[in-house]
Parts: sequence; C-alpha cells; structure tokens
Amino acid sequence: MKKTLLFVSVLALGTTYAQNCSELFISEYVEGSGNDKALEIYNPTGSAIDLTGYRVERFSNGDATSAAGGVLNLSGSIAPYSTFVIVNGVGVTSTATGTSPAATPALQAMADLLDGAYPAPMFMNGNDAIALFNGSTMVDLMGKIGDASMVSGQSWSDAFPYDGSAGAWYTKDQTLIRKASVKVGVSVNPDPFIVTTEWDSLPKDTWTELGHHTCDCLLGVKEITNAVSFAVYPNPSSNGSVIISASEDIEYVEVINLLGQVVLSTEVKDLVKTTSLNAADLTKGVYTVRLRFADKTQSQTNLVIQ
Amino acid sequence: MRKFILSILSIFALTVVSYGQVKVELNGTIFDKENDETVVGAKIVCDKALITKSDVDGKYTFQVDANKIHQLTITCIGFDTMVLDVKVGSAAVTFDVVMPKYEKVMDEVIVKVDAAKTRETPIAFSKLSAKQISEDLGTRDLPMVLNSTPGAYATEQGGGAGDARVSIRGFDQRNIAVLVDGVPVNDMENGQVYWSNWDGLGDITRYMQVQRGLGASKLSIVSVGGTMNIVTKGIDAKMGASVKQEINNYGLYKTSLSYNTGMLKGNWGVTLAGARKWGSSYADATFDDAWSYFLKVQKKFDKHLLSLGVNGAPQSHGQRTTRLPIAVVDQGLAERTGINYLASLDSISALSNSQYTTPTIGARGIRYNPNYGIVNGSDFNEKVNYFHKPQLNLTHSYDPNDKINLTTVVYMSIGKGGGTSMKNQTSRDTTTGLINMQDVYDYNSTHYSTIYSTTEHVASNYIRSANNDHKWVGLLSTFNYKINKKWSAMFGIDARYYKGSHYQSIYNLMGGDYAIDNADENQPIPTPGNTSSSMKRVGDKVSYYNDAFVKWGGVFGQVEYKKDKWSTFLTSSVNETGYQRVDYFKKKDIVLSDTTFSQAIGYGDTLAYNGQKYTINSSEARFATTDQKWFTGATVKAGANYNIDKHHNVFFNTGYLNIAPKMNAVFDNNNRQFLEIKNQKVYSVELGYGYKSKKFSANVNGYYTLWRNKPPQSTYTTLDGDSYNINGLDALHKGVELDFIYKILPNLDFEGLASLGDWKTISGSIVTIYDQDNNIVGQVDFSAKDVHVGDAAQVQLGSSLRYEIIKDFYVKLRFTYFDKNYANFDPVGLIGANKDRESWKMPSYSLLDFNFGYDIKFLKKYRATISGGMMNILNTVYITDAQNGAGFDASTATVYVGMGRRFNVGLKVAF
Repeated sequence: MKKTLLFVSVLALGTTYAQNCSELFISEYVEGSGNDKALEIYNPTGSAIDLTGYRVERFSNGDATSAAGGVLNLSGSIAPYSTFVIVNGVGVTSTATGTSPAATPALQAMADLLDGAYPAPMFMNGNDAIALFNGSTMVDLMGKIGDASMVSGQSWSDAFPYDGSAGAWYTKDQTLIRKASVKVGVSVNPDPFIVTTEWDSLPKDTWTELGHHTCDCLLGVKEITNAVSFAVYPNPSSNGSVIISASEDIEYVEVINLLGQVVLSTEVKDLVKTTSLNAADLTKGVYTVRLRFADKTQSQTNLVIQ
Repeated sequence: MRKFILSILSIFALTVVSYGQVKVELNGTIFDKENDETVVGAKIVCDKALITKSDVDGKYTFQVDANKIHQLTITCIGFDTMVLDVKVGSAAVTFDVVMPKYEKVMDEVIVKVDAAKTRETPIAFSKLSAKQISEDLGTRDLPMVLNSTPGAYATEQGGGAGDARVSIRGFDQRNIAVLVDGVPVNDMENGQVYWSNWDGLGDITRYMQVQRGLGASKLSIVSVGGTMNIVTKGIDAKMGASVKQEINNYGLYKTSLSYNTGMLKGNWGVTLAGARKWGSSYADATFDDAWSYFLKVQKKFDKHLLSLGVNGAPQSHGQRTTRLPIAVVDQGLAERTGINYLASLDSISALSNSQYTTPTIGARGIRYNPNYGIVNGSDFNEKVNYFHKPQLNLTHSYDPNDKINLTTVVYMSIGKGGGTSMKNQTSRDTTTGLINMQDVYDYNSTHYSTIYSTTEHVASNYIRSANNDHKWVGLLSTFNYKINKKWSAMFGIDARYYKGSHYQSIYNLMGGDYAIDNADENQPIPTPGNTSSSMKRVGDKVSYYNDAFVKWGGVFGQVEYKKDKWSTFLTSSVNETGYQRVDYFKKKDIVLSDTTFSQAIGYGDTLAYNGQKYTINSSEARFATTDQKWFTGATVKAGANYNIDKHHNVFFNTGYLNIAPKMNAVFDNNNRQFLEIKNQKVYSVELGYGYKSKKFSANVNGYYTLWRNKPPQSTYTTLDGDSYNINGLDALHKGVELDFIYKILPNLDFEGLASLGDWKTISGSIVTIYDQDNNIVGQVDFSAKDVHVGDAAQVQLGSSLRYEIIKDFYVKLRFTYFDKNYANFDPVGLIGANKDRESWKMPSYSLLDFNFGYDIKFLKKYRATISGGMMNILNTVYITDAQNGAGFDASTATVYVGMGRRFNVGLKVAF
C-alpha cells in the first residue's frame, strides 16, 4: 500500500513540476521585527509575466488550510529577471485586538505591493508555510503545509528534526535568500522540509538584498558569492553611462547579456573602489554587471539599459 | 371539632355581648417574613384568654372589646414568638403579622457574618429569596436574576449553560466578591467566577443578598463592585421532599430532587438535593450535560452546632465563544445600528478567517454558532467546557452564652477540568457557515510525517483542552463578642492555600494517531530513529504546563455601636498574599550553594560552573521556579445608619481598599516576574435613604467610587522579552440607584428599579517603564480621559407587576431596559489618533418577560406547583455584549446577541 502511495505521489510530482526557469518563485523572505515582513518573488524567465491569477497563501502554525493565515491576490507584472516585493501593509500601530505595530516605512517604500489587513500572508512569524499559486497550481512553497511539528514549533531549523527543537532557527527572525542555483519553485509539499536545501540566511532585519535576485537562470552555472556589496547607478540607465562603487578595490568588471555572453569587460588598472562604464552601444534590456575584486571574490547585480 | 370550639366561642362572645360590652372584630393574616407566604396553624393568643389558630389562608379572627389595647401572642414552630400590642377602636381592625423565622435552630451563624439588615446596615443591598429565584430563574444561570436588582448587569454571553457573567456598578466579576455560605469562591489567581462550576446553585439557594459597593463585607476580600452572599438551604423545621421537572422550548431538560429530614431526634438534620440537566441550550450545538449534588448534615449539641456541607456539579457543555460581526447575525439589527449590510458582509467574507456567510446567503440568525462543524454526520462543537469542582465545608459554631459566638469554617475544593478548542483555526464552509471539520479528519487520517512514523497518521490540527485544575483549602474563623447593649466587636482570620495547575492536553486527535509537540524543553530532542518523546497522544500535556501557588492570610475586625436610632460600624482588615510559579516546560534552574541559575539548562544542555558540570539530571537541577513574592493589601470601612422614625432612615458609608495585585500581574508566561507591580487603590463614599411602610417601601442611594491604578486588559512586553504592567489608569464610577415595592393590593405588587451610572476612565499619561536598574525599557503614551467604561450598561430601568389572580395562582410581568452600554475595550490601547476615543455604544434594549405559577394542594400535605414563563415576549433582537473594533463603530464591533422568545414550564411536587 505504501509503495502504491509513493508511486502515486511520484506520478503527481511528474505532472506538476514546472520546467526550470519557466515559472515564478519566491526568491527572498524577510521575517523581521514587529510587522517588518516581506516577500520577494522572482521572474526567472526572459519575458515579463502578468501577475493576474497569482496569489500568495499563508498556512499558519502547521495548518492545512490558509483560512487563519490569509490570502493575497497579486496584480501587476514582473519584468524578465526582475523581482516583485510584497511588504506588510500595517501603516499605523493598532491596539484594537492586541498590539499590531506599524511596519517600518523604509521597508514599505521598497514594496511593489502592500499586503492587506490581518489575516494576510505578510503576518508570518516563522512557523508558517508560504505558498505561491498560479490559479489552482502551487508553483512554489517555503515551508511545509500541514506540518504537525509547527503546531508547537516556532521555526524550521537546520538540524534533525528540522522543526526548531534542534539546530539554528532559519525561518524566524531571519532574512532568507533563495540559493542562486534554484531555478524552479517547490510544487510538492515536502516531508520533511529541510530549509537549508534551498535557502541561505542573513541576519534579522536585513533588507539590502530586497528588490534584486541572483539566479543561475540568468547566468548559467557560476560561483558568485556576493560577499562584497557594490552599487551601480543610475540604474536603470538611459544613456548607458554608469558609475560603479564598491567597498573593496575593483579588479575586473564585465557586463553579461541574457544569453550569458560577455558583451563588455574592463580591467581596472589602478585597483580603485569606484569606476565607470560606458555601455552606450548596448541595446536596451537587462544585463548583469559582475565585478571581481582584488581578493578574487566576485559579486554581481542587474543593470537595466533603457 | 374546630367548628364545635368556634361555636362555643361565638356563644361565649354572644354571651359577653349580651352583658352590654361593645365588641368589634380583630382579624388579620400571619405571614412568613422570609418568603411572604402565609403561615398556617400559628397559635394566636389574645390577652392571655382567647386562643385561635391561623386557618389555611393564614387568617385569624377575634371578637374583642372596643376602644382598648389588646395583646397578641403568636407562636409557631420554626418562628420566633411574637408579642404585639394592638390598639382597637370602635370599628373592626385588620392586623397582619409578619413572623421572622426562628433562626438559631437552623442556621449557622457564619452566614450571618456578612448579611446586611434593613434599617440597620448602612449599605445598599437587595435580597432575593428562594421563592423569587425559583419564580424568575427558570433554567437560566443564577446571575441572570440579578438584572432585577439595581446596578447589576448580567448577560448570558454566548449562551452556553453556565457561561453567564455579571457586573455590578460597572465592575466586572473579578471585582465582585462571591461568597457561598460565607466562603469566598472567587478564583485565587484572577478573581474570576465561573458559574458553570456552580450549576445547580440556584436550586439550593435559600436566599441571595447582593450588597453593592465596597459593602459591609468584613472579610479581607476584594469587593469593589459589590458582594454576592449566597446562602444555601439549611435544615428546615419540618421534614420535606420535592421533585421538579423543567423543560424549555429549545430542548433543555432539568430534573431536580430535594429531601430534608427536618430536625431529628438528637438535634440532627440532613438536607439533600440533586439535579440532572441535559439537552441543548439556545445557540446551535450548545449541548448541556450536567449533574449537581448537595448534601448538608447538621448536628446541634448543647451550645455547639456542627455542619458538614458538600456540593458539586460535574458538567460538560458546548459553548459559543466567538463574538460575531453584527451583519453576520441579523440584517435588521445591522441596519438599525447604521451598518451598510451588504457592504459589511462583503468585506467580512473577503477575509479568509471570517467567512461566516456571503452577501448572497445573508445573515445567519441569532442561534448561529460559528464554533462547530459536522463530523461523520454529527454536530461537533470545538468549544466544550467541562469541569467538576466539589466543595466541602465543615462548620463549627459555638455559643457559650448570649454574648459570645465563635464560628469556624474549614473548607476544601478540588477543581478539575478545562475548555477545548481546535489547535488551529481552519477553513469554513461558506454555504453552511460551519467549520470544515470533516476536512481536518480526512487530512489527518491520510497524512504522515515520515521522520516520525511511516505507519501512524499525524494530526496537524486537533482538539486541545486548556486545563485549569486546582486544589484549595481554607479556614475562616470569626469571634463575635457583644460587649453590652450598645457595643459589639468582632475579630476574624481568613487563611487559604491554593495550587492551580495549568496545561494544555490533547483531547481529540481528529483522525490522527499522534500530534507533535516540543514545547517541553526538558524532553528528549528527537534524533533519527528515536522520535517518540515528541509524539503526543490523547491526554498528553502539550504547549504549556505550570503551577501557581497562592498563599493568603488575612485578619479582620469590626466594632459596632448601636444606640436608639443609630447604628454604626467601623471595620478594617489586612491581608498578605504570596505568589509562586513553577514552570515544568521551561528549562530547569540549577540551584547551587552560592548562586542559582534560572532557566539555565534544558535537555542535552550542560552548565559548567567552578569546575563542575551540571545537566537536567543533576541533583542541583529543579523545575523553573520563581521566587515567592509577597504583597500586602488592606481595607478600612465605616458607616452609619440613622432611623429618623419608623418609616424613614438615612445611611452613609465610606471605604478604602488597597488591593494587592493578582497572580497574572506578578508572573508572566515565561515564568518571569513582571516589571512595575503596584497595588490598586479604591476610595468610595455612599449616601442612602430608605422608606418603609406596610404598603410601600423604597431605597434611594448615590455612590462615588474612585479606582486608582485599575489593571488594564493587556500587558506589554519589551524587546528583551520583559513583561510589564501599565500603571496609572484611573476610573471614576458614580451613580444613583433606586428601588421600590408598592403593595397596591394584598394580591398585587408593583416593583420598580432604576440605576443611572456615570462610569468613566479619567486618566491619560505617558507611562514610562523602568527595569530593576532604573533603565527606561518602554513607554506607553495613552489617554483615556472622560471615556465611558465598557462592558456594562450604565443605565438600567426595570419594573415588575405580580398579581395573584386567585389564591395560589400568580402571574408576573417584568420589564427591563438597558442603555448606555459601551463595547468592551482596553483603555491603555487608546493611543495615537484614538486617544480619548469612546468605544462603540451599543443600542439600548428592553425586554418583557412573563412568569406564572399555580400551587395546588392535594391529599392534605402534598403540594404541586406548576410554573412557567415566557422570556423575551416581543422576540426582540438585542446586543448584550460587544468587543470594540478597529473602527470604533458598529461594523467593526463583534457581538453576542441575546436569546429570542422562549418558553419554559416546570412541575414541582412537594410535601
């Protein structure tokens, strides 16, 4: 019997799996202080995707339904290789039914969409599974729906039994970034959910990565650590002229198109922290700017040429 | 034989007349003071010469000399003997006599400790006799009869049996002292009273006295709003038994039995009572399954009286605990409160957790209960309350002489039970409005969590029970000394020890075989292949498990002075409360000779100190235990009554209460002590006037109560996880109360009452919270100035007309009106734009109730009583309770709606 069940679920897996780099997935998860909660959705395809019909559902505390967790219907669209940021929508601290503090305005300013009143997905608190649906199909899932461990557990963690009773907590008081190697969302409820398989963690209340995502769908397989942060501005650029500023000495700059071809490269002779780039010949579109620093680490970000 | 005597008498009378002396008739009726019933068979002696007995209607008649004062001596078993002078003129005279019960035989003196007396005790109070209670109560919870006393506001809340609550003068139950036979019953941790623990109390109540305000209570108890003294049946003078069956139209049945031996040979007496209540309450799926028992055994030795009382009510009932948006309940009510009905339903059904109905389906009606679903074809209510709290009282009273009385009660109660709920809220069937419980069953019975088990099904949602067990022992002793005719003194002690256990346990796995819970930090952490410690079955404790220990010691004393028209008292008490909390699920403490590490290590942890290593299995480890914290409280009260003449009296009282914090303001759920623990202070003055005559009596009184540092509804937590209390919320409750009885005719009584309250919170401030080292750790900037207090109607009017159409057949019509009722809210939540904002005001409502009763006597000593009633005759749809919403308006408020028109009938047979 069990074998039959397994077989059936394998079949189910086969039918619901999306192709790599073909469907939206969740690329970042911010579970911060108070109501500072956010979610980033990434478009790993080369075309813009209309968000009509997509929704986010929260399955709180191990629940098998999203009744208590809330549903958010999405609207708008996501440009190719771009992100869509949803932030908790509480604007004024309310004490009507327990204290519900306002989310930090700076975080809300990064949002493409503010979430609605409680219960809504952006009231997650560490033990809630967050799913992205396209119509009736679940296209991605962070956590496990109906996880009996989360009825009392507070967070998924990195050690057996992965429910916070051992190991480091990952989903509570953390920012999680989807690994660049992930090219498709989770469409089958995992058993168990092992958070470290697809997610890296950043300290609580880190929002610096919100609004952009590095994914191998764009680059092919390359080891980019992003250990050094840098800024490219203006971005988007209308005349192709941009300034690059980093916290470490820059050794090499390259610009890569959607096909993974290097279209521009510059060796920075003086090892300075700030350099410029003339990309006036590049056609409009999304590019990746990758930097190599004096210590041989690499970082990258997106550049849009208008 | 009697006829013969009567004719002899009349011949004698005629004979006297023939001698020329003018005779007139002196007649009257003998009444029982306690219940206003007539007394049959009382012996009446006129001028130590003429003798008669009151007839079946309590009437007597003499022919006596005109223009003369005659002396009547009335005696009857069970009553005090009365000697009265009657002035008779030239016309016939009707002289009714009200007989007080002969109390010493039947009563324990302890119950009289806190009983107020008309025209003597300078406080406002109402007394409800067993007769009144049985006429008005029906199958409702006992507090519901209090709506006919001024200043009280009782509601049935969700409507489950035993879920009623009452407030007096705007103070909720936690601030009303409830005494059963003189023994305090308010919860030792939070002051609450759970009426479902006392199901059946209405049947065994001899009388209930409600003292309003700080009251004359001499005990060292907290009674801000008032004191409810409930006195249970004692041993009657005569043997008696009764059986009663009640039914109401929504399917609640109740059978009750009582038996009383009367005073037996050797001065023994036993009273027994029991009841069974079953069926359904008013709202959907609110079943009731309750028993109750009561036993009292008394023995009188020479100057001692010993009494043993046991009572309890094992019960289980379905509840409705979710307040609903008005549009979900009733369209008319929604429109009456200014709600856009369809728009409201639209926004409610858009939220995933409130899909009670849709705009197409519309309101669900007043019986709709959102707390149940259907499983395998049967109703399944997630909210079940079950409890059994047997209480045992052993009372000893010693009266060596007329001056001294020493009364001691030793009591014990053991409570066990809890309330169930689904662990997680789940989806709702929008067609029926019911919880999709079958889905939970189906999900649980098909899912595995493979790292725990590949053969047993795991429950990711289940029914848990929040248990509140307790063990409570207490001793209450009073010593009364009557120094002389004017002065008397009283001294007493009140000692209690209480242990409360709080935990959640698995009640029903809803199709699963086990649930997973890791809340216990001392239980082994699952490892691959060894996960059983986290797999919980029915009855296993989950989520939290802690004990509260409360020790209470109080002393109290009173001096009374009575002279002529004056009666005055001064009373004072001091109490000391100690709290301690032990948490079995938190990490353990390590107690060493030179230091203690609190909540230092859980399962698998090691603590190294001075070269030694400690684990949870070390002998130095103990469950997380707080320090014992002691708090002192005190009361001072004084009052005076002055009887202007035999009709008029005035009284005055004043009081000061210094109230120690309750357990839930001392330790938080993390087993840590709260910051900013302070006492509450209450100051009160009250003035009253009373008028009493045979046909009309009335009381008017006004009160002014200032409550400093009222505990708000919520506590706050800093970022470091420290919990703190918000101090500095003050409330001012003032008002006037009126009640009267007008006996228009001997068989027609008119009663009325009014209470006009002005209850407000009056403070607003920036409360700064400091930690132990005086560092600022938090700030709350709230303002609740001139904001009406919520959760109790501030205006109350009521009246009743009781008409005895023919002898032993009465009908009674009662009218009740409530207004100025604000939704419940937390004043310290009035911050930012909501500062000083009034919560939503509920619409006023009035109710009309009808009761009747008919007594039939048969086979000489048997009596059958048919009684019944119709509550809410006009089928009014009205809001009894509301919780303020985010918009401070009708559309965001959530409410309980009162019950519709309903009937009940009962048949009682007694001898």
